[in-house]
Amino acid sequence: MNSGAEQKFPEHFFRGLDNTFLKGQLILGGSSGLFGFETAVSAWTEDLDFYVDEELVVSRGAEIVRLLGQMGYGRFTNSPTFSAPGLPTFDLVGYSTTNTSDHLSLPGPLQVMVFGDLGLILARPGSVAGAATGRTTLSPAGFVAVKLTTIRVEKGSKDKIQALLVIAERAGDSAFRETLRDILKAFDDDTRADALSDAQMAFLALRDDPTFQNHGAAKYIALVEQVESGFQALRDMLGEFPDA
Amino acid sequence: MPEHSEGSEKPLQSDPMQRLARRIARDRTIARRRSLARRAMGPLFWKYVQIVPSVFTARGEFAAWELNVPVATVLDRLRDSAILTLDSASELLGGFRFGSGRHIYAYFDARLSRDAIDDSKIGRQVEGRLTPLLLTARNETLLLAVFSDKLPPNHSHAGHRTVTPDHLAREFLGYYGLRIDWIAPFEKQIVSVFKATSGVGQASSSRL
Repeated sequence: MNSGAEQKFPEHFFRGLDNTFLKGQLILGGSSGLFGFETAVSAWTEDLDFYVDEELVVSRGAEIVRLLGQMGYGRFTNSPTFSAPGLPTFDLVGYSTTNTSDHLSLPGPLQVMVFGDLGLILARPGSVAGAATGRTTLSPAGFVAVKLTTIRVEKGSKDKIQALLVIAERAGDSAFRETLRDILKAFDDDTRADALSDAQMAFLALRDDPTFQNHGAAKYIALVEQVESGFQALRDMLGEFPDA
Repeated sequence: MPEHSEGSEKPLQSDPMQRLARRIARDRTIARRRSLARRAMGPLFWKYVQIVPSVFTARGEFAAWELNVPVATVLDRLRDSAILTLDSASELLGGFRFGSGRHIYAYFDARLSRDAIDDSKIGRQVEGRLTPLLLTARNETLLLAVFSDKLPPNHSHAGHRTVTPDHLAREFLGYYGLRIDWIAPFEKQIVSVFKATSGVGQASSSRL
């Protein structure tokens, strides 16, 4: 696959969903959420995530699989992962507006992992963009909130560093800050403190991980300074919350 | 190749998804434990979580020397050029080291030639990839040096230059993470002695 093919894929994919029941129902998210808005931050991924409402999976799972099949996307056995020759692989990831625990959707023609935090974030105004056109993606603030609250023992640092870099890019944008603050209000004090602490721990990855150091010394220093600036902005934002 | 699932109504086997769900639940458990351990730090957690870490190796070009003279001799010969940090600074300022390595950690002005270090006859520069040096305690003592255009805030203490106590807190966070086992001696032997201000001494302990 050519470099950058995954960046062009969402538009191609969304166009295919026009005039179908899935138009506007799938939200470009995960690291591939970075393909949905202007940013210099690298996605460091070649596959994509689309968020889907658990209710839709339960009620129309077979139709989703059938439609995607008609569009040329085959499903990896027993998984919510799809691909077509020459195109990036993508996963369907569940969210729920009624059940905020992590769980599997009911077994059926399509089963997805449902992440509780996603439902909290996606229910907040400003967390997604492009819904009117059917090209629904995470907004920058929605992306940052998802990455800050994602819990992954492996690769967790990548999530936090991406979030801090996007914050650094947009720290001067008051609408972004306001929206992010509002989204994070969906979480309790402890969760917000954990998000800040996890972001702080991600600096250890900058010390250890050749993925980041391979950019060359000058570029690497600039990246680290951006991460520092993003952390400072996040700390200031979270510090504006009233005491519990 | 993925199966082509057009028209398939066959229910999924749940095993791979169950495995995914179990892994996610395990990650949540680990995160919960980590969260509780942080809170066990009490007010120190709230104070230190607000400090922006500084990553020693990310502030410039990293280089290392294997030493063939005693540490005291190295420190003496590099007295005019080295700005000590991490365990070297905490040892000088507070009498404790945290990491298991006995290395010397120091910044140097980027304009200083590596030859100048060689000329001080402290040892031999290490070739090759250096990152593993940071992660593995070695028997020998190394000089771990960062040559930087922007030197960190520093001051003179006991005849040597070290990063300031405030900046040292940032460096410890960037190198060892948020851990009570360095924060406790740091508070007792450095913060209280040097009355560190910005970042450490004045950091709020209020809840987020």
